[in-house]
Amino acid sequence: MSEKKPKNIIWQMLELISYKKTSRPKTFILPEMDEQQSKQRQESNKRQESEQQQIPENRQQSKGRNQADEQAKDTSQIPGGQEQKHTQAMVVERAGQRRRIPKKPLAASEVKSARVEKDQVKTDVNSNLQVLRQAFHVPENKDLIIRDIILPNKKRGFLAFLDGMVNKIIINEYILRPLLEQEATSQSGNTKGIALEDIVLTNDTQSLKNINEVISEILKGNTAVYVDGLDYILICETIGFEKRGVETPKTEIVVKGPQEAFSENLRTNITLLRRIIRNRDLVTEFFEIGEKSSTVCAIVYLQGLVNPLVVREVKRRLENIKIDFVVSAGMLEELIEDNPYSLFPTILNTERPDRTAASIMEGRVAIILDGTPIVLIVPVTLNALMHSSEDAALKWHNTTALRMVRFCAFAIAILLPGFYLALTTYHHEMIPTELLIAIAKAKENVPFPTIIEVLLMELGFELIREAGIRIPGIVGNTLGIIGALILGEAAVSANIVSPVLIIIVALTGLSNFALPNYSLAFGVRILRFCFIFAGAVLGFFGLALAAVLLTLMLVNLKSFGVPFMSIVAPRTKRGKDIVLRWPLWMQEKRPDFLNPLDSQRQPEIARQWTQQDPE
Amino acid sequence: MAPKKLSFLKGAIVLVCACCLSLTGCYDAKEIDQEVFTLVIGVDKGTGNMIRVTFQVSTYKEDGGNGGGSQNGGSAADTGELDGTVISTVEAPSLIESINMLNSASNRQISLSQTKMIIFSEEYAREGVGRYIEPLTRFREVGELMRVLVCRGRAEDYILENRSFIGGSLPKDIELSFLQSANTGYYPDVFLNEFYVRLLSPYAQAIAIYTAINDFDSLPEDGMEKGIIEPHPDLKPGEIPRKGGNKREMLGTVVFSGDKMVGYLNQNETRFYLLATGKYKRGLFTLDDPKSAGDFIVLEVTAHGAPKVTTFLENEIPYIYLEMLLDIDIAAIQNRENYFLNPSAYLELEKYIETYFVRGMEEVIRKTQQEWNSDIFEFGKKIAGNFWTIPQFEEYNWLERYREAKIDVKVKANISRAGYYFHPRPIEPEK
Repeated sequence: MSEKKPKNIIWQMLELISYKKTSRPKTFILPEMDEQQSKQRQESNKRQESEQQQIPENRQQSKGRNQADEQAKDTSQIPGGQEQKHTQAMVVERAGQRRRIPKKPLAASEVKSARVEKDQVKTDVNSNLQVLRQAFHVPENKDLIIRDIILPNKKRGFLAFLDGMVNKIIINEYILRPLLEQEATSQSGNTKGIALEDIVLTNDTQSLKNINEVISEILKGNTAVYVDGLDYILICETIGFEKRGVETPKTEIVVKGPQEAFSENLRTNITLLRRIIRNRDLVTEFFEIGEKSSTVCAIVYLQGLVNPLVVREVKRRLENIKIDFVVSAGMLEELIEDNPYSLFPTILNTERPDRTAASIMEGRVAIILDGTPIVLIVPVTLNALMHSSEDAALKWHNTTALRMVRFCAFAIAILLPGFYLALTTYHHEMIPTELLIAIAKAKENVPFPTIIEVLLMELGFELIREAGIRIPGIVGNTLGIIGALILGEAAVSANIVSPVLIIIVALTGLSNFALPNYSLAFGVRILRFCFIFAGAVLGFFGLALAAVLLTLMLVNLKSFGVPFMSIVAPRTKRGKDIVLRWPLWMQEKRPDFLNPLDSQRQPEIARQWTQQDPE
Repeated sequence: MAPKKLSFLKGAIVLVCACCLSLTGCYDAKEIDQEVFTLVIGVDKGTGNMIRVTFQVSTYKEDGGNGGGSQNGGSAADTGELDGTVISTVEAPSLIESINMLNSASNRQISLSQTKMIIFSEEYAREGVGRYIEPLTRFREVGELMRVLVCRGRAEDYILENRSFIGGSLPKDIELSFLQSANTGYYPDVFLNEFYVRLLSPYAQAIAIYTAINDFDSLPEDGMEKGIIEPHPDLKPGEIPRKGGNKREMLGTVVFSGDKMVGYLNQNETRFYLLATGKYKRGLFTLDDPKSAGDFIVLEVTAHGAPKVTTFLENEIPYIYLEMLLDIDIAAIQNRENYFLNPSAYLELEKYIETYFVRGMEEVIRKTQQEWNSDIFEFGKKIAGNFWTIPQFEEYNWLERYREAKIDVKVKANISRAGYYFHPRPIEPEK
């Protein structure tokens, strides 16, 4: 950069406008696949799977250490989606770029061994106890319970678990009791030969040699068991904390259709999904996000159906989040979305297992964060945000009609106030005379220009909405309705706004509520003000300009490599459940823009009975 | 260059663009209540060289449409208030100047964007309207929805009677009244832009709607002498024998030659004229029954598409063939004879109807050729096709030579339905 002669400002401006120069990082674009390619990929996927099965389980232990290398490999593979072309040299080079160079150069092997020794489980009770106590800040921290035990064979040991996170019955009955009552068996048989994991009776155990992994397991609610002399700590699954049960959905209410919603518990949520998709290909992968909170996050997808590049991209983003803690799906969404400046969401939020399952079956990936009842679904397009949970439960005519209504609502919610403003300040000749005179009559005693009226009313409406959310329970809803009525009525009789405007604002508000996606509705609320400004300043010309800008922004958006405006720009094969919903038996293909490995949803004839003669 | 500096530059450019745009935009912004909307413009001859322009503008008072006269007492002529509108008359050297003058008195800017009609007094129209129409059309805001009317008597008096009788909305009443043209065919529907184009064009002459105030004195009182029933009286606007309701009425077509009014077509001639130009689609016609004098046949006539006009020139004499197909439904036959049971009578009736329409149209064409030499049929558009270039056509001077054209009218009537009764029983004669 520095060698070249500095260019003049105009030249640089041109480069900027013509996209020759972009300050944005490389974006991930999902490459187009034809059927042959998708078959090949499917096969290679299967091969990988079988290879993975042969690899022994202990690979997981070394994962933490090799993470840097794996990340490097992933990042090098993703952008083009052509991993074969990248040479090993490149991988190393990239890895080298990412690694931080320490001030005092150390050989890589030395660093590794030093770390390993420090993290290793010690072979005596006291040192291990001390490590755990230090890690959990005992005795200040009262949550870690350490139960010392002396086994019948006089060996010392301990149980460590977090109070409140565990099921105490399991610990008492299936860990403590077998350990302490082991005498009977030991006297009859040989004690030494029996491994610790054979004594405890919990359904899942793990022998961990790394103390950090032990700590993270304890944090999850598992119990660590150690007996003197061992070089590992046994982790017994004892998770059993208080949690909310499966309840009915709060925000995505349907009349027909299942009435279950996700809850805060990750396991329950995954179970809810598994209950709907009983398929052995349904894969759940776990990640820990938040360096201080270690929140567990799962991605769920259907192996062999979802495009592996999407999964890899999701994993890459999740693995490379460096943040202290994450508590809600919204935070996670902000950390992984493609364009954080976009007003429109590029990740779908849902609290419904059925909707999540349907998305997974289309070839999308669900991201579930522990402790939040909202599941993130990627990749999504604008059309998916216009779908509601009830769409699949209703008859197709009704759904199609409702989707039309939603698209109208979308347009009204963005445009109507701006449109009204443009009409009344610039384009009087376009209003029918009767209406024009009616508007003028209504405005006669109002001292403000229309723009002030619009802004006042919009602000009032937003205030009512915001207050309605804050005020608890039934009062909130009532306040919303009463507030809107009283405020509108009073504003009109006080000659602050004209009655036509109340209709405009109310219609806009209603349309905004009609949008099925909460985040989308929020984006639209903000956009509306942009259009109000454009209409006030430049009339229809301004609206047209703003619409062009909005379109440019939308077509530029991507959701995990999939263009946000797919099926319109770029044009892809039209599905039967994207904009309109056709009958279920016509929906033979999965959405083309997701590039699933298996695009066929069902055979050409789904209702096979129509081909048969009635008996 | 550092990206920070670039982004600053970008921001500055966007800001400058936004400022420029918003300055140009906001300069034109006008609130609805800053303007008053003229509904009707009337043009009369003033003293000397001046013109008297009457504006009817709508007011924004809540109880505007009170149905009768002004609110402040006194007649509309005194106060100028009428049914939620205000009528003001200005004398000025030109139409545009009159708007300016009125602006200084009306407190709000006068807008012509919603004007429904412009009315010229007959006296004025006969002297020529061109030089006053021309500046009006240069106003961008003057809508294409403005109709052109010529009224008998003074336009000012006409506007003073321009009120809504059916509903509270005068603009709606005015607009819908023009749509009646399609139902009755008694008057054409003429827009300002069409009128103006015809004023300028070398292939057609302008027309306007003929209108007047009916003083309700044409309705014969009881005991007046009884005459024979005349199915097609020759009426001027303002002469319809009626009483009550709206005083203003539209009837007939004003024929212009150049920008001067030269004559008018009465309501029946207007129907033939509209049929010949393809603007009249469907309506009722009352014919004398050829078989029994004093009885009538009522027909519902539907034009089967626009008439076909073919032209050619021979020795610079234009020949024009106008062919049209009419679908006829019989609505009523007063002597209750069933023509459908008698094929020869049926064919006779068709012939009779054809002759009726051919004669009617030929008479209208003769009038326009012989009396006024004014091509209001737009035959010139077809004649122009016989010339290679526009200058050639202009040199030919069609509007002057319209008189020479040999025009042949051919009508094919096709009686398709006998009405709702196929076999009506004759009414028993008095015994």
